[in-house]
Amino acid sequence: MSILNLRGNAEDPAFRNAVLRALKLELPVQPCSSVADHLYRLVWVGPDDWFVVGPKDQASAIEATLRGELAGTHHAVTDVSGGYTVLHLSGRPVREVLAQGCPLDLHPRVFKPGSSAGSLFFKASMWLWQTDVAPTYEVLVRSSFMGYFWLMLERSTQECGLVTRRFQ
Amino acid sequence: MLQINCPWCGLRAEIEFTCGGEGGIVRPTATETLSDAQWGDYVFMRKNPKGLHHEQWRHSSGCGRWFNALRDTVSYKFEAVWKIGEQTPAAAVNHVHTGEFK
Repeated sequence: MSILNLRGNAEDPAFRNAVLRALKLELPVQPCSSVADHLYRLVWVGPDDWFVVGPKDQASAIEATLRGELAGTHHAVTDVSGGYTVLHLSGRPVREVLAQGCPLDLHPRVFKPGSSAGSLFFKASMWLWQTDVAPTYEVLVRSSFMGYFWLMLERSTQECGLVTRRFQ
Repeated sequence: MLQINCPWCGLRAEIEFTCGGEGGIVRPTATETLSDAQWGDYVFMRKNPKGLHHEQWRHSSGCGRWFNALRDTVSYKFEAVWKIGEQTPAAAVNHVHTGEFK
């Protein structure tokens, strides 16, 4: 995956429009939200802070496009692909598995496709968003925590089993 | 488990937050004119009231923002939270600490 961190002033229309031109996606300014199309996903991290997640090996291209459109506005674009990993988690028991280590209320009444949240999985910080009602979630974790995260995921899936698949 | 109301993310579990101690401390200007006692007062001395206390908290495993909170140190109840730079809510007005030092 290509993962970039985007900083800027959400209240500046020029900044929002530049992101829209670069990624063809409306910048999510609502706290704890996320938007996506078939190519990119934009995740709200903080009031002036977003993650851009895109296809593998596209980080430099995304960065160049964003920088080009954002020229002249107050912004920062950083390629953080090396520091973070994204996991897709799906299957019927996925909520129960996450709930073992995550204090968020993941009930579909509260947390649904389009929701995102920074939270914890046991002791590791993570950013979580839901992609469909199956439910499928995606989790963004710091690479250095991946060993720990995986260990806890294996432990949390002891009752239901864990099937792993590598995305190319 | 306490639930703390983050001004951006809403109610979240206490473990997602870090307490940053007393809020509203302002770095004094013209520090070269301060006595050692005054400087020490600014750096080390903190209020420790029994009851309502103006604190700063950070939603460290969430949006990562610092914010102001008014917390009762006896019941642990959060009476108010407000963003940095935001108008102080009525409940907190009489308890807000300012950067004044002796």
